[in-house]
Amino acid sequence: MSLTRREGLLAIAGIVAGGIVANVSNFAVTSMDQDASGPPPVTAFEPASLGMGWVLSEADLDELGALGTEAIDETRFEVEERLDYLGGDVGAFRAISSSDCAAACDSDPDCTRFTYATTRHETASKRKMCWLKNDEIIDSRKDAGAYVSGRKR
Amino acid sequence: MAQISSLSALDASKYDILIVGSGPAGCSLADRLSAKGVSCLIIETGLAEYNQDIQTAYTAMDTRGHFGDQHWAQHWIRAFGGTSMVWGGWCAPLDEQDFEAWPITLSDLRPYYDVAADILKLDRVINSYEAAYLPGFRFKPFRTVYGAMRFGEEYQSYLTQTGPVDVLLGVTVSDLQPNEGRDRVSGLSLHQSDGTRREITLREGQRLVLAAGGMGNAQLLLNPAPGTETGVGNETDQVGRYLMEHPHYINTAALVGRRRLMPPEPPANFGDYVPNILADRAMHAKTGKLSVAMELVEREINPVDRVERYLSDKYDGDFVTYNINIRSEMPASADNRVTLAPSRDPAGLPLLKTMCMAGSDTVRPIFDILEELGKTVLTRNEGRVFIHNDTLVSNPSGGGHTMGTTAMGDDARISVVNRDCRVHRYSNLYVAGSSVFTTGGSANPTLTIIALATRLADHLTGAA
Repeated sequence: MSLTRREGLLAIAGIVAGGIVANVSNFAVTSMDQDASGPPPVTAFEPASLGMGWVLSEADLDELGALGTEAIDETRFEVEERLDYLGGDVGAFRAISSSDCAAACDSDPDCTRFTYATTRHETASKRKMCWLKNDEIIDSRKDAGAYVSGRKR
Repeated sequence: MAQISSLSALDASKYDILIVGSGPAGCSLADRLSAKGVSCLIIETGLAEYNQDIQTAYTAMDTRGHFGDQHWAQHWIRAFGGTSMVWGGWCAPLDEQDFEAWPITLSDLRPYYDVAADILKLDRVINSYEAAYLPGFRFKPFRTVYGAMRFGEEYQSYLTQTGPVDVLLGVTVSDLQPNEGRDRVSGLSLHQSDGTRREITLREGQRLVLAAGGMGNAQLLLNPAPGTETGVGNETDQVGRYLMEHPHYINTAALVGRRRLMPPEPPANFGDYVPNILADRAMHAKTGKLSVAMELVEREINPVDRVERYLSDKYDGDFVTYNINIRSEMPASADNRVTLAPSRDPAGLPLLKTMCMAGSDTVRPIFDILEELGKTVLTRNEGRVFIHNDTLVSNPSGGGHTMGTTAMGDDARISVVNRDCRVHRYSNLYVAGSSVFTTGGSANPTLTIIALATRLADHLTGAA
């Protein structure tokens, strides 16, 4: 597989043209295989610590660890992408990631479900909003592209 | 007389000053003039009560750019009392640094800010109070009034009582006629809602003040009288330019940290307020010289945010959390402007088209100042700042503040009125209202509108 730098960047940005790039990490390994004299393949690394909108110090980031990079704990939640629960709200907060939203629901006894608005949401003020919900939701909407929801197992 | 029953009953020659518009600018001007025995006529398109049909017919507008389709029209109220009918009641004087591009300074306006506070029945402390905050920043709250003054109610006596102020309702000024030398307004056309028209000739010594709102003032000066090609005062193509709002970015940042970040309390006579942080002079210069008001809204800790939980533990109960609402200044840009649309209102005045964009030169200083605030509290280990990027780069809301369309300046090539609010070249034509703002600062404009109108009254009576 051969890709230009531009195609690689598009792939990283999530704009995958015609299924050429299925997986960003595969692309990285493939590229390096083509150049035997290049650096050794990356084996394991810690995700970068970034502020996710907060103005933080390096010491803060050391203490906090990586923000917004953890996956939702799927042993605790049945997760569905593109699902939006309507109603049943028990709280609404800004959360730096969907995993933080899930973790907040996990630690709240009133919360049985959550809905999180990703940064793709068309309304800027809703992006990164986390709604904690109970089972009294009035409806759910599938194919809601900018949402991810979870239900406690 | 008081309210004049109809256009045919009008004897315009008996008034010293004709005022077009009855909002905070027009009524405050009449208030101050009449107190000195000067006779005034207020001409208002609307009626004593708000009428939706009049509103729609006279303010329909083609809008492009930010703030939304109905935004400017909804804040150009055609009724006795003008846009005070929808005023939220927030007051703050502009800062000294806000006047850098103006031909006048804060000290020129300071006495009139106190007159404005008196008119609004507020304590004058609202014009002088501010307190230190973090290095680089100041605490300067907005005075808020729930149930803000409706000038139509406050000045009801102009309709009902005989005095030096008469009011002509339901009548629209449809054009201003220049004399041959274009150095005075010789006459104006009036249109009554039943279709009646009258031409009025301005006599020697009589003066005309446009107080028709940020849109209305521009509309009257953009519209060429029949037989002319250029509107009165628009000889240098400056009318309608520099249209500004205060872009609002609500809940776009957060400040969390030690309790010493709690803003101070203004003195009791200040009254109800909204806590607000502004840059000091040096920080203002460093971050792009635009005023950025940061309202602090106290809230509970966000339990979903790991950073807030971490800081709450770190500061061990010595902890406060605020959302930040931004109300900011747009640079005065000649390309943000009001122009005439190809359709007309019932009086025959061309309706307006607006183009107004809050661009990167508006938003970048907000990022800069929030970063500076963040660095300041971080360096002092007093707290942290969160910036919600996507809200800050989205379509802002506005305050309904229509500013800059007949800008004040010494140079007629880049402004419409001079430091006395007199239209360049014209000896008998003046403008009152936020359309004369050279720049907008971040303070709500009504207090400054009233201050400028009462200063104009003193100028017209030779007292300033």
